[in-house]
Parts: sequence; C-alpha cells; structure tokens
Amino acid sequence: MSWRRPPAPAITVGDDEATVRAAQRGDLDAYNRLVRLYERQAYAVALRLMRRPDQAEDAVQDAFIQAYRALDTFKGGSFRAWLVRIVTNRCYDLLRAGNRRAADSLDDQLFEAEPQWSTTSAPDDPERRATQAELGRMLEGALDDLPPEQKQAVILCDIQGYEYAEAAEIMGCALGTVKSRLSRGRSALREALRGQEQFTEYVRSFTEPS
Amino acid sequence: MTALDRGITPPPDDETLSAYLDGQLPPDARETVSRAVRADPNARQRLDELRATVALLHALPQPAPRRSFILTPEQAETIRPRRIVAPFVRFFPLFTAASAVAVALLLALFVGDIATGGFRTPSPSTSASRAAIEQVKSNATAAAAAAVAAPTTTAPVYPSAARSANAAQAAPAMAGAPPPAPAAAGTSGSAIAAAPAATTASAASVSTVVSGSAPAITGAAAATTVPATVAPTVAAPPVASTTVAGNSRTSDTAQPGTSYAPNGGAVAVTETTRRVPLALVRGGEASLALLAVVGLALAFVGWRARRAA
Repeated sequence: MSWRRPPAPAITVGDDEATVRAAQRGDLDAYNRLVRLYERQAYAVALRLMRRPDQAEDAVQDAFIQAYRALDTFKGGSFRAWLVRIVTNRCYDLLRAGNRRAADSLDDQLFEAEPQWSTTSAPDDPERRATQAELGRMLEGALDDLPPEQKQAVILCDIQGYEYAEAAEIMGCALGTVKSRLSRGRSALREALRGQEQFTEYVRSFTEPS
Repeated sequence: MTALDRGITPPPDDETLSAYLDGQLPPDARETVSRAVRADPNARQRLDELRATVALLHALPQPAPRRSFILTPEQAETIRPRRIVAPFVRFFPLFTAASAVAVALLLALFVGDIATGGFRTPSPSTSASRAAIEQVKSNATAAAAAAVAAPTTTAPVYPSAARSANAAQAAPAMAGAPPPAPAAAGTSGSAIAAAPAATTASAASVSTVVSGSAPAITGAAAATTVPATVAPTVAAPPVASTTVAGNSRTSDTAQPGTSYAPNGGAVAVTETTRRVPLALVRGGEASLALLAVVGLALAFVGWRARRAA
C-alpha cells in the first residue's frame, strides 16, 4: 500500500460550515479564520505551479481576495476544494499571461532556503536521506515538464494528499479522469528517474508486501 | 511465444498498477495483480519503481509561506463594501408583520363598508330622516283623502266583497299602524277602514292581503286599481334611501326596519342612519392603506438589503 500524507491541518466539517456561513454574512474575522486554515496548502499548490515564491504569493493573495468577493457563489461541499480551485485557476491565468518559469538553477535554491512545515519522516540513514533529497530535486524538475493536467493530478493527490474525490472537485473533472491523469503522471515521472543510479538503488529498497 | 499463447493473462499495465498501489482495486483484481507480479519480474520491477516514485513525491518538502494572507478591514471594505441599509435589515420581519396586519384590517373595513352600505343601519332616530318622515306623513294624509275618495266609488263592490276576507288581516294591520293611521281611520267609516287597512299594511301583510283578497277583488273592476298599485310597489326592490313620492302610492318595501307606514298610502320609509360616521370610515381606510403601502415598501427594501448583505 502506498503512503498517504494526511492533509494538514485537519478540520471538522461542522466547524468549517458555520465559519463559512458567518463569512458569507460579512463576518471578516470568520473569513480570516478560513484564510489561516488553508493558506499553507494554498501556497504549497501555488508554489509547485508557479515555481517562484513571489509569484506564488501573488497568486495566493489574488485568490483569497477573489474568494472573498465570490463567497456567495459557494453553495456547499468542500470549502477547501472550492478555495484550492480558485488558487489553481489563478495560477494558470498568471502563467498564461506570460509569467516566465524560473530558470532551473533557481530550483536548487528553492526548497533549501524555505522553511518547511510538513514532511514525511525522513529515513534515519543519512545516506538514504541524501539520496532521497537528491532524487526529490530531480523529481521537481521532471514534474515541471509534465502536461498541466497530469502535473495537477500528481500535485493534488501525491504531494498534497487529497483524496481522488476532492481532487476531482478541484480540477472539475470526473473521478476516473483523475485516476488516469494521475497514473500517466506517475509513469512519466518514473521514466524520468529511470536510468539514474540513485533511483535504481532506491527502488531496491522497496519490496512487494506479501 | 507470447504470454497469451502460454495461456497466461497479460501483465498488468501501469494504470492497473497505479490503482493497485492506491488500494483502488476490488479484491479479485488485487489478487490477480499480486500473482502476476510474483510471477513476472518485469511487472514486479515496474510496480516497485512506481511505488518508489510515489514515495519520493510524498517526501517532497513543503515550503511554508513567508507571510500570511489574511485580509485587512480596509481591503475587505474595498472588496465588499458594507451597505448603509444594514440596520434596516433587522426590522424586516416587523415591517412585514405590520403591513400584513394593516392589509387585513383594511380589507375587513372595506368589506364592512361595502356590505352595510357605509356602515348604515336603519333607525328613525336621526334628524336627517325626521324631516323626510314629516314630509311622508303629510303626503300620507293627502293620500288618505284620495284613497278615501277612490274606494267610495266602488264601495258597494269592494268593501262588501273584501271585508270578510280582509277583516282578519285588517285587524292586525290596523293594530300595527302608528298613530296617523288610527287618526285617518277615525275620520272614515268602515268602508274606509278596510281600504286603508289594505293599503297601509306592511310588506308582509300587504302580500297576504293582496293574495287573500285577490279572489274577492278580481271581480271588482275598481278594486283592481288598489292591488294594481299595491302589487307593483310590493314587488319594488328595497330602496336604499328614503323615497318620498308625490304620489303617495309608493308602498312599503321589504326592507326590514321600516318602522311605520302612514295610512292612506303605503309609503316607503326606508330610514337609515350610520352607526359609524362616514368621515371616520373613509379616514380609517385611507390611513390603513397608507400604513400597508409604507410597511410593504420598507419590507421590500429590507429584503433587498438582506439579500445583498
């Protein structure tokens, strides 16, 4: 079975609903509670799409303003999915408008400089930890080369840890479409890593559970 | 030899392996993949590589944002300005209730107005009708004199034929007649008593008199004038106002509350008075209508404000 990163932070549906309703009535404090709840996830998705922190910040700020303006159009369901959808759409708008991708050299600095808030437990073995970090950087580059819909599926499901259903809501497509985009993205990333010696070693550490 | 030739199912494709990794396959399909992976090293390799890729994705670091994205009140005001009508919204239910009550009262008042003809009830007490009554009385006495003259020409026929039939009805009719009637009766003889009795009876008794005396009177040519004049007026619809005819042969109408019938001529006395002054009724209707309109307008404004808030 694959590992699943739990989407953080966990919020009960009940709290969310009441807060959303209060925000819809014009309660700014309620809306800001929602902002603080989801801004890390929103930023993480935006950063993966925009590749640059400043552009990701712009996208997220725009998205939260747009969400506040359009609060009345939220009719129920997952507020997080509704919000992340606004974020991804804003990112695509900015990308289409001509914001250039960061040069590859920036990618190396990207995650080392930023504070990190959530990772799976790193391997105890330092060598293994280094291998994982190195392979992760290669993966980021390969991720960026994916077709947009495959990239989004991988980001939402495998990096952010959303369930298929929520990812389908964010992307505005069917459940089966999410599955097929995800599997094609994973296969493409695997191809990109194949041939790297570190990857072969890394793979050997995975055995089929009986 | 292909795998198919050997009778072995083809190895699982990447999409199947991907679903297998996520636990999305039903039990039988999962078992199939498990067996295929155990038997086929190539499939095993592909599965392990997929699993490793997903693990690496899970392990990617998540950079935290350098700032928060909460909105300031100034930003919020720019995005969604608060409407001034907001305090109004609270009173929306009150305005709806008030206007509903006003409309109900207005309808009740209006219906009452129509049904009772302006809140009028018949009674002889008002001075407005008193003058009319006096005039009717004077006409009645004149009519009585005329009535006296008419029957006398046919006296031999009318009274003799009708007296027996009328006697029974005449007595109650006479008894019910107000003072002017006895006075008139006193001036005339029995012949006259019968005639005025027939003509001065109330609506109900007139009809009975006419019907009762019809067989007796039809033979009398002159007597037909009396029923003829009586009958049409009996059939006349109740009038809403006092009718004072120059010819006093207007008979009593069926309107209840006709208090008296002066003798000598059946006179319609439909005296009515108002229980409630007209000015009050109209004023009440106008103010309630105004209240209803204002209440509805305020409720509408409040509803719009609430929808936009």
